[in-house]
Order: sequence, then C-alpha cells, then structure tokens
Amino acid sequence: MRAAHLPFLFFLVSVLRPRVLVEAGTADGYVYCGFCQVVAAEGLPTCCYAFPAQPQPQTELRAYHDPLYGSFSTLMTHEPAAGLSQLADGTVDLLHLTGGAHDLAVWLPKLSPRGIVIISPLNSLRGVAAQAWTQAKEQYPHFDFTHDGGLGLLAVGATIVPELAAICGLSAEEGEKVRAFFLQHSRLNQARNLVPPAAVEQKQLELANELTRLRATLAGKEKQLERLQTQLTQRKRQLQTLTEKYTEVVNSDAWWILSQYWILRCKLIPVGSHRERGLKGIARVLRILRQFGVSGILKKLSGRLQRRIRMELIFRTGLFKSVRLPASWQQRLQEQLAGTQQAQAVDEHTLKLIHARAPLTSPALVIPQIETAAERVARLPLASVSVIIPTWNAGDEFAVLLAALVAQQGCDRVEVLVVDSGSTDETVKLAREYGARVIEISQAEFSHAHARNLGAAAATGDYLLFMVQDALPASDLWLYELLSKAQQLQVVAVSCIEAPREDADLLALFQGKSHAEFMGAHLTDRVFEKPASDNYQELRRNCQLNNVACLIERAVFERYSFQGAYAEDLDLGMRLAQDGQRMALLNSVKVVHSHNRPAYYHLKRGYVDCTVMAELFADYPEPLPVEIDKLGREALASFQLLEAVVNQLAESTEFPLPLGVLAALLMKSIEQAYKNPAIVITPPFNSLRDPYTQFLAKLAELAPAPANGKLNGSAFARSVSGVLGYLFDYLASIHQVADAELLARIGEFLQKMHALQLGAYLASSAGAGRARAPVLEWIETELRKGV
Amino acid sequence: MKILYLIHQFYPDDYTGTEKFLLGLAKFMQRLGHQVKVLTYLRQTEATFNEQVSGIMFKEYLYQGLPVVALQQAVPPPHLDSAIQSPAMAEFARQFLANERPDLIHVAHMMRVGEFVSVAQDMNIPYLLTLTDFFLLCPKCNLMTSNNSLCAGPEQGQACRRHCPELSGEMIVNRLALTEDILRQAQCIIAPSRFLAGIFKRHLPDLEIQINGYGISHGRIKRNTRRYAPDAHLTFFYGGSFSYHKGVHLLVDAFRKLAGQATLKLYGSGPLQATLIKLAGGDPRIQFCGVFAADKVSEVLSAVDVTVVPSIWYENTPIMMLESLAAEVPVIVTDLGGMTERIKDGVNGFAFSLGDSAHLQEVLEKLIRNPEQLNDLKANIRGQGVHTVEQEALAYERVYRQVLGR
Repeated sequence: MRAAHLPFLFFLVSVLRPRVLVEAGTADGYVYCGFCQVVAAEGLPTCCYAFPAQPQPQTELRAYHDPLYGSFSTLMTHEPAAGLSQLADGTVDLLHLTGGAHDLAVWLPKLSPRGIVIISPLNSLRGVAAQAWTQAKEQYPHFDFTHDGGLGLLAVGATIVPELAAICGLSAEEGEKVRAFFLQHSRLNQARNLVPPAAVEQKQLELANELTRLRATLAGKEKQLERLQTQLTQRKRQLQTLTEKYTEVVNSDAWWILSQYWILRCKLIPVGSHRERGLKGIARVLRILRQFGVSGILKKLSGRLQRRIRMELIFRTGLFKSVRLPASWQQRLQEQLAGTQQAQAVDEHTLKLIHARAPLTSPALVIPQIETAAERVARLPLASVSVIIPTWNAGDEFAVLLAALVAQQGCDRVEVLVVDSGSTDETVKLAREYGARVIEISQAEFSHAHARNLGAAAATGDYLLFMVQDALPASDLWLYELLSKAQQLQVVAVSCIEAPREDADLLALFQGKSHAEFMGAHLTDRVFEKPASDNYQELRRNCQLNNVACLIERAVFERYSFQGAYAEDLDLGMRLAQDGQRMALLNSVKVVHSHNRPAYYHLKRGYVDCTVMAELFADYPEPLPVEIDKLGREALASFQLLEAVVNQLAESTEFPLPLGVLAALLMKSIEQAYKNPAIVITPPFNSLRDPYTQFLAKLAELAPAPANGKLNGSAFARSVSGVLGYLFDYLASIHQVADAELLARIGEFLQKMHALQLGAYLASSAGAGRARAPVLEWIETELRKGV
Repeated sequence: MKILYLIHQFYPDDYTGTEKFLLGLAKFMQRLGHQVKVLTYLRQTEATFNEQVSGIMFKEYLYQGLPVVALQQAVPPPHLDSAIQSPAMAEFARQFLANERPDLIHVAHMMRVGEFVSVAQDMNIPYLLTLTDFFLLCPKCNLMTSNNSLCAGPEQGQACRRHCPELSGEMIVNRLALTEDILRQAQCIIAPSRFLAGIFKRHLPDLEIQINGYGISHGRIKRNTRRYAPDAHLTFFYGGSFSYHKGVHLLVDAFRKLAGQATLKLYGSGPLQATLIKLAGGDPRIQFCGVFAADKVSEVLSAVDVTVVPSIWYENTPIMMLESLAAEVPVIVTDLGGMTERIKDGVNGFAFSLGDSAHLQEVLEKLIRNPEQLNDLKANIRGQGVHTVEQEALAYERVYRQVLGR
C-alpha cells in the first residue's frame, strides 16, 4: 500500500492519540515510518513497536529510522509471533497487521479497551485470514477502503473515539464520500511529495522533466537523421546512375568517334581563327538566304548600312547629344560594345546617356478631373462635431489620429478638444500644432468620467464624439458616416465596432470578434433594444456604448454626463436606456483600435474588469472563488506547463502542417501534460523574465508546499486551455495551414489568456476573502495600478 | 469571405511597391477574419517547383502566414510579360478556381496571370482590379516610348504604332480590345492615384474608377522632429532601385555639381550601381549605403532631412514618398505623374522638371542655402495625413462587401 493510505493513517493516529502503537509484519518500514512521522509531528506520548515479517537485520531501515524516531520507537528483531510474548495484554491502542501477519485472533488479547486494528492489504486476504476478517466485521464496528490494495479498520475496544465511531457508522453513500475524500488526498499527497522528503522527489521530477525533454529532442534528431539518410541514399542512387551513364557514354564507340572528330576539327579550324569565322559566316549567309531570299537580304543590308553610318556619325561627331536613340538601338549599341568587359561597356553607355541628358519629354497631358468619394458627398446640414480625447503621453501615433481628424470631410465643422492629464512627451504640443484646443489637468485630477466631462463642458459642437488617443477613423468620411447613420437610425448615441490594427495580436483579434458577436453587431449595424430585464447580458448587449468612438448629441449628453470611476460609457448607456433613449452599435462604420498589451496588463485588466462588473451586476459570470494560495501554485505551474508544451511542439513539429493537425497536437499535448505531473516544471523558475511571471512566482510563494500535482482537476487551468477550442474554430475560418509563426502567436495568446483568466479568478477569490488580509491587500494594490 | 489575390510576382523573390501593397492588404484581410490566398508567377528553375498539372509547374508556400501559390508555365510563352492572356494556362486556371472556389478575385497585377481573369469571367467569379501601373494600356507597363520619352496613352493604338514601331499593330489592337473587355467586366476598378485613374479615363472616358490611396504602416514610422537653424547641415536621401527609369543618375549628377556642404545618402541596389559610383566620382559627400530592411525605415528617415524621388517615368504614389511624408520629411519629386498630387511645390516639398538635373541642382542648392525653409515645409506636412494600411484595407473590405452584396 506504501503511501496510498497515509492520509487516513495520519488522521487515525491524530484522533486516536494511541499510547502504544504496534505494526506487525513490517517489511520496508515505509508505512511504519509514516506512523512515527505523525507521532513526532503531533508530539504524541506514543510508544511504537514494529515487528518484522521475517527475522532480518533491516540495516537500511534502521539507518533512516533510528536517528529520527529512535527515542519513542523500537524496531523489534523478532517476528510477530515471537513478539506477542513481549507485550502485556490490554495495552495496544493501535495495531497494524500487515505483511502476512494477519492472525487477528492471536493479537486480540493485546488490545486495550480503546483498541483499533487496521489490516492491509485487505484485498489480498485469503483463506483463514479472510474468513476471520468477515467474522470480525460482524462482531465489531468497522470501515474499509478498497483502493490501493485495500485497508480495513476494526474498532475492537469497548470505547471508540467519536471520530472513528462516526466513520464506522456511516451509510454506504456517506462512506463512499469519505473514501473518495481520502483517495483524493492520497493522490495529492503522493504528488505533494510528503514522504520521502520533498527535495528528493522534487529532484526526481526535475530529472523526469529533463528525461522527457531529452527524449523529445532525441526523437526529433532521429527523425531528422532518418530523413537525411533517406536523402543520402537517394543522392547516392542518383550518383550511381549518373556515373553508370557517364561511363557508358565515355566507353562507347560513338564517343570515341566524336572525340576524334573534335580533335581533328580543332586542328583544322582552331577556335577564334579566321577559318572558323569564315565558316560561320558562310553558314550564316546560307541560313539568311534560306530565310529571306535574295531580295530580303539586299533590303536588310541596306538598312544595316544606313544604321551603321548613322551610329558612326553620332559617336565620332558628337551628334549623340541631339539624337534620340530608339530602345532597339540602345540594345544593339550595348551588344556592339559588349566583349570581355561587358559590364564596363554598359556603364560607359549609360554614362554617355546620362551626361548627354537624354531628351526626356512628356506630352501635354489633359487628365480628366477625378473626384474621390470624400469629395463627392454633400455636406451635412447643422452638423458640427466636437471630438473629445483624453490623453496622457500619447506618443507619435497621436499625430496620425489628429491628421485623420483634420482630414475629415462632409461635416459642417470639426473641433478637437484634448484633455491632457500631465503628459511629459510632446502630446500637448502636437495637439496644438494640429489646431486642437487643449485642457490641461493634473494626474491626480484624472478620472475617465471627469476628464471627458471637462472636454464636453468646453465643447461647442452639435454632437460630441468621445475618442481615445490610440483610435483611428477608418476613412476621411468616417465622421460624416457616423453622423449620417446616427441621424438615419434616429438614435441619440452611436458607437462603432473596432477593427484591429495591422499588428494586433491573436488575443486582440479573438476578443474583437467575440465581442462583436456578443453584441450582435458582427454582420450588421444594431440598434439597441430596450433591455427586457436587468440581467448582465441583457444590459450589456443593449447599453454598452464604447468610448473608443462614441458619438452623442450634445444636448442629450449635457443632461446625463459621465459618472463613476470605471466603465463610464456602459454606465451612461444604462442611464440612457432607462430613459428610453435610442442607441446603436455600427458595423458599417468601423474605428481602428486594438492593443498589443503584455500579459501583465491583461492580468490587471482581468482583475479590474471582473471586480467592477461584479459590483455593477449581481449576475456577472465571474469564476467560482478558490483558495488564493492554491491558485498561485496552479497558476505558475500551468503557465510554465503551457509555455513548455508550446516550445516542445515548436521544436518537434515540422512546419507547415494543416491547422487541424496542429490543433489536435496542441490540445492533446496540454491534456497529457495536465495529467502527467512529470512535465510540470518546478522551481527554480527559469522564465521569470517579465512582470507577469514575476507576479506569478510571488503569488506561488503564498502556498506552503511546492506544486507538483496534476492540473487536470484545476478549474483555473481548465479555464485557460478550454478557450483553445474556440480559438481554433476562429483560426479555422482564416487559415488552412499553420506555420511556426502561427504556433508562436498561439503560444503568446495562451500566456495572455492565462493572465486575463487569473485576473478574473483573483478578483472573484479576493472578493470572497479566500486569502489572508495582507495577501488580499497586496493583490488589490498591485492589480489596480495603471488600468 | 474567401479572396484570391492575383499578382505577377511576389515575395520573397520580388518586393517592389505592388508586392508591398498586396502583402499589407492580404495580411490585414486575414486580421479581419477573411480567408485569403495569393496566386503569383515565379520565374525559377524547374527544381523549385514540386508539382505539375496541365503543363503548369507550381508550388505552395506560406509567406508571413499568407498562403501563396506560385506557378510557372513549363514552356514559357514568348510574350509572357506583355500578353494579357496565356491560353496554355487556361486548363490549370479552370481546375484551380474550381477547386478553390473563391468568393471573389482581386487583381493587383495582370501580367503573367491574366488568364485567371479570363477564366474567372467564364466561371462567373466576380473580380476587381487595382490599377498599379499602366500594364493594361501599355505592353511596356510604364508608358515610355522606344525613343526614351513619355507617352500619353495608347490613343486607340495609334500612339503605340507611332512611338513603339517595333510592336505589331495587330497585337496592339487585339490587346487593347482584350483589356477593355477585362476593365468593363470588372466589378470594381480602384486606382491609388487620380493621375493613374486619369490616364485610364483618357482611354475609356466612361470607365468608373474609385480612388483608394496606398496605406503605409504608421506603427513602423517615427516622426522626424528635427528643427533647422540657418547653418544646419542637410542630408538628402534616395531610397529605391538603382534603375534608369528611377532617375537616380540625375540626382547624383546634380549633387556632384552643386556647391556647398551637404550629404547625399543613396539606399538601394540595381543595374545602375556601377554607373552611379562612377558618376559620383569619389565625391565624399555622396554615400552609397546599401539596402535597408522594411522595419528599418524609421531609423533611416530619422537620420535624413529631405527625400528625393527623381523618377523619369509616370510614378503613381511611390511608397517611399508616402513614408517620408508620414515621418514629416519633405520630399523633392519630379513634376510628373501622381507624385505632384501629393507634393505641392514649396508647400510640403519641391518639384523639378522632368529629367532636368540642372533644375534639381538649383532646388538642392536653394535648400542648402536656406535650411530654415524646411521648418515650414514640415509644419505644412502635418496637415496632410497619409492613410494607414488599416484605412486602405477597410476601404477595400467595404468594396468586397458591396461586390458580394454582404
């Protein structure tokens, strides 16, 4: 049974607090040392005795046992039968019969009035021993476990401690629950490596990891070797075939005759000799004669002569400067100048061409007037817009937004109001250069609602357009289209679906698509309906204005303004909806906006989003709270595991491959890794390179024991890998084939999704107070910053 | 939606402006959730290809995540680069399109792959055209005549006969008839500059052509915020191919002759390199800096003061010019084509006469004498936004949806 039943035995010793503990039939002493460990840990006044199954020296066990437990425990040299005589009757509180020493009847007199007998392995009892157990069960209160060889408990004494009495009196169903509970703990304990000392098993795990990695590398190399060997064999075969052919040709009579011919020919007509040129000339004349006939040749000769004379004139008399050279002449000229120094000659020609300033002319062109779509639109009447942008260190790309706003056409008047909260870069200067009005406030004064309200108060347009500093209008008619749509749909406020930036990462793309689908605006524009109820989904789908680009009538806004510290756009939408105001989300007009945020930002975003949404909506689907110290360990282990799986796949996979195959490989690898603790990487953490992994390590330190358990039962780990199915559905609509770059993007997606989910889990668990107060405070301070 | 892009050549072997445009567009369409594929022609040895069907060798590969099918005719036709159709490719094109079943085809360049458009017409697959040069009007693509001058368009073939007598009259007439058919049957025609659209409209006045300027990757470009004092040392910059039609020899010629202290940085490579080095005559002010990778553009532009685009053909919208404007670097261009649509003389740059290095020299000298002018030019550039790849692609996506009625 080894360590499988240790959790129960620990429990048993700590509730029974035996004065005398005896194990009969000790073999390797693994379980007995477990007993001693708990006696020592609990500081019990217990005397322990172990009787070996066979008389033997037990040198190894003694070396381990004596220094640790020698003060209260004795390893007897006699076998159980001989040991009986050494113990007084009615003294043993806890007796463990194992290793074949299952003769219950002979031991019964030794047990005290509190006496408890445990027998293992129960499932191996045969013959008399099995019969005795069956009879004993009828006589005494009992309980048994069936896993890992089985373990039976008999309460033979007249007095039973309440905890054990309760266990023995359980119904079948309740008994199963207890069994399942201890089974789970035994698995955890096996994994948590309590016995033998953690460091040893940790080392084993590290070695197992290393072994797995080396095996994977070896498999890859073997595959490569096999491929190269196949190629080598093919090449050798080709070489052999070619050598055979070559030998055949060289040895043939025809080759000999031909070589004699060429030797003779070279003697008679040396290469480059007058003789050779003459013969070639004759052959050429004959060919031309055949091709053109006599009259054709005469014409050709005359044309050639004329051109030759003109060219000589050009170069010898300097007429070149004023003569236009047709392209065909240029080519001929190059051919003529060509020789051993062909490249040099071409340069000389081009130089001449350049120095002569080739007479470039362009015809007098009358190009028809062509209007762009922006120029064709009619200006909207009475539609002036104030664009309000809160800023803080907006960077160079802010210029692109400002220029795009200046370029807007079709509106009556566009004013830009920038509310800057203490930028230290050129944001304010840039805004002024583009003609924006700037309102400057301090960092302390900033809140999303307040900054925008300030801008709105200074605005003069009929409409207000709230934007963010890194958004971008989709075209020069963007504002015109927004206004037209708002008027056409008769809504007081309108937002846009966001189109990603060209460098958007996979998470941004996936979230953008999912959000558009959730809002029901992934295919067409959607006018919000009056929320039928006040549940989260209904309110969000019908009230979520988006301040990335949100156009609203100024007169309406002045009655409402923004409120709250976070999600001010959603809050405004909810108040507008409450009053029956119409709003819409446009798909036909998009705003360019997406972020490539690091994982640490997603962690904070997940935390703050979940916290705020849970405050706003009672039914917000936040994750179930868990113990934060346990979560910390799972988070770090699962993060490193996902990274390891992706890296391993990147190394061992040959790209490109069908997307479906990559999906299956990745999901299977993660599933296997979740089940197999050997793959979980334990400290030292090699990838603590960025704020997110550093945060993970700090969080993991909250747990009392190292995490080397399986992750297949972790709700958090499942919540991260569970998104993969949806991700691959999305990817399959775009890609049929995957390359290494796509796998790298998926790896990055997993890390960021991990951070996002962890943020949500921390928010929900912190909300439920699942950690000590200092930890909760640390999490709150750390994750609230900068979002 | 499923989009098939056609282009005459593509990465990694070829990377001129048209390829750059298509790469940016197709990758962004993937970002928008569309399934895309690029079909192109590759001039390589037979061993490069791994499959052959109906006399067409082809191979498939991914370039920056973009699926590409590159093909080559086993027996290349004699007029591969000027013909609109290649009947030998028809069977393959039919099989390919039947297999792929794209919702629409977007043609970035018809050369070498035009047969696919003809087959698409037969198969009722909608297609749209982006006019990236004059290939559909001029077998030489660039409207340059055989006597080294510029042409105003085919004039129903008469100009071709007049200026390029080596071209067969019959071929010109047939070609123009064919291109007219292709242009008229396109669901939509888009040009990146009014000039290019204008040249096509001179030939077919009733043709509907939309304008959608090239977009650039603003994320890669930082603003060059240098301010100029009266004695500022100026660095002029050329980036592009060292080819005759790019007119870079005019710039070297002008620079060598000018008086004053300034630097000319020439980035690029090409057939004229040796000539240019010779022409530079060891002038220490002229530096040949080699080529630079696309992601280094910001670095390069932040170290220069003025960009020069001295082309002697009808450039449309050189991407180097747009990137310079995005970085707030003034541009000197030839007073020609689509370039002066963006560059206004004395406002955000300067224009000089076609092929006139003396005029270019004057412009350069004026700037060297008075570098403070650049401050005004840079301020003016700020008011003229350059579209981003996202804006360009979203406009295309809207066209796709209109074509497909979605």
